[in-house]
Amino acid sequence: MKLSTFIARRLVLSLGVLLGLSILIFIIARVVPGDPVRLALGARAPQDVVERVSAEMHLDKPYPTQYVIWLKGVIQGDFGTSLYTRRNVSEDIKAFLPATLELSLFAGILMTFFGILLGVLSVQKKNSWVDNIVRMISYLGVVTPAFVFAIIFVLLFGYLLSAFPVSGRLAEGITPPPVISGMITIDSLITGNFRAFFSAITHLFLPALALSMAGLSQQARIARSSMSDNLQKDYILAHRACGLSERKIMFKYLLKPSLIPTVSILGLDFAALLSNAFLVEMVFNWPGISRYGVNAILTKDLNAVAAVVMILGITFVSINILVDIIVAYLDPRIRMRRDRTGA
Amino acid sequence: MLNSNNAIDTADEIRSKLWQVRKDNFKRSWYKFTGNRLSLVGLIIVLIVIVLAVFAPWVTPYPEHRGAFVDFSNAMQAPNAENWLGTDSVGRDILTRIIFGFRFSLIMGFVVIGLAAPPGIIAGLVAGYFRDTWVDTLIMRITDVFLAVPPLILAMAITAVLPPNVFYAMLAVTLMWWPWYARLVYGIASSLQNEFFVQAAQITGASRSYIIFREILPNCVSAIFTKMTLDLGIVIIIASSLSFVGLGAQPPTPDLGTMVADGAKYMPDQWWMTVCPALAIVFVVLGFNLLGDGLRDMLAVEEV
Repeated sequence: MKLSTFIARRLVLSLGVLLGLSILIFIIARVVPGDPVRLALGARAPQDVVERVSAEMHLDKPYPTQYVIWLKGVIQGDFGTSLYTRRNVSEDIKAFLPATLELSLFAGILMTFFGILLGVLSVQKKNSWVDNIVRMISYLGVVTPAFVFAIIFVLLFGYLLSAFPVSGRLAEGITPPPVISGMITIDSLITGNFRAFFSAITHLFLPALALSMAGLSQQARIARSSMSDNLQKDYILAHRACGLSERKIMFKYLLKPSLIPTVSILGLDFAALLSNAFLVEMVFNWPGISRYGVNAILTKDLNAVAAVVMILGITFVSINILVDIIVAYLDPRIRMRRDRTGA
Repeated sequence: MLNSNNAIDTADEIRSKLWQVRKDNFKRSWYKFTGNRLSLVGLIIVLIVIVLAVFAPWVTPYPEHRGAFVDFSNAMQAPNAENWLGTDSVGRDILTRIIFGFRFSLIMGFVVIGLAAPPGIIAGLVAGYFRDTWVDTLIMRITDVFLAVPPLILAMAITAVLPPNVFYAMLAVTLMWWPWYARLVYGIASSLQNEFFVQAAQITGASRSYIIFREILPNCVSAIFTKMTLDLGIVIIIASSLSFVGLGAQPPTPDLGTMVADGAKYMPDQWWMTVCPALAIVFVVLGFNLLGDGLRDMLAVEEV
């Protein structure tokens, strides 16, 4: 299969998945709860008000019609209005999503960089104390929930060492840069506001580290095992026989093929980042989409819930497509295989 | 005479031989399992947690502190001789509540896995057996949809339309958990479809359900079993995360996630209120993970 065919196939499949997801979300948010307007307005609201609001939001029509109307809106980026605040859900999401994306992207960078670094270190010093420490970290990373990391980092680095701020996105008294992308680090760089940039980075570091720990350990684990597998292969022996230095073998010939498994689980790791962001944002008072989502869930604001889940689903699916394409580029064998049972 | 020197054995002899073989197999597996000390540590942790959880009312120092109990004169005590792990904001013993919290975590884990695995396994078996037909496509596409959303977020969305309590939290996690089993079993089942023993069964006229459940399923058991052990830890993490956000168990239920969230309000001065239950979660999950890894090595499972 050519790379372009592979990409086209992958895109079509993903569209199907997103369509299915929209049906699933519609069922969860509209069909299951019964009458959402009655839920929102309370049991004592007069019947005619309930009917008027229902008609305004097309909730009086049969479910399939409702679904089509909702889906049309979603495709145009309109998720309807919140049943509580009466504000446009898309506007709210536009305001909150960048903070979460900034956090997840930064965590993703930390995860990939330190994960692979730790993996390389532990292969280089196999069975030494370095290796043992890396293995211990990667074990703890897998079994520790993100919010536990967040709390321990807050106590350790925030309060005990006072090395990092523990809440918010900027220090008090620093004027935030004008909103361009909504990500403070990027906006402050674009506008050349280095004080704000520095403050934003220090605020970002702890939550991003807490968020990245799970993926980081997984990356380290996989990098270690795939590198030690490849180390046994004949081509490495051949390179050694030719007298190449260990360093050159490690970085030029061993690292690249060994990265394929770590890249291919990046998609799953990013899913973990997006959902764990909910927990980390709570601990660090991070004004992201998660807090908005949790509030929407607690108040049963179903349009907002549907929007948050749909947006995260779309983000996740797009990242997975990207990851698949990168992997297919790196490893032509993947393109040939039927992609169903694969990762 | 006839009996002693040829293959025709009595039923009893066959049974005792079978028993002997099983005993040998078990011994061999146990030897393999204990070869890695970490697996043994995992087993011990899991056993400790199970025993504590089962006998919680008898082993905890203050069993009455499990629910709504108030003793303000003893509130927020740091760890001391009477309260080994300190007390919380209303004066309840944290150690007691952690041990009762183990109970909730374990029940949650066992119920969710117990409910999610069977439908997932059946879906995977059926899709695998009918590989490349519309049944396969339908089932696996549905699982793809479920797998397209991060699990915690889907669980949260489901709890959104239901009242926030333990029961619905379990239901939500169950609903998003079955696709993982479907995918695991599908992978194995579809690869077995062309094996000779399956074809042999088909030729002898065995029914579809016989082939699926008696020929294919036994080959998936060790993978399923290993995944279940590993998943118990993950479900406990997800459940405690849900309660941490406020969507799972509600106070005064002694749930580890809820306790961490409550205690976090009193950071950094009363750190033990949040750190102790947090480490308790890590302890349980570590146990199940080490045990699961040990099982994986012992049963030589690759897929999980």
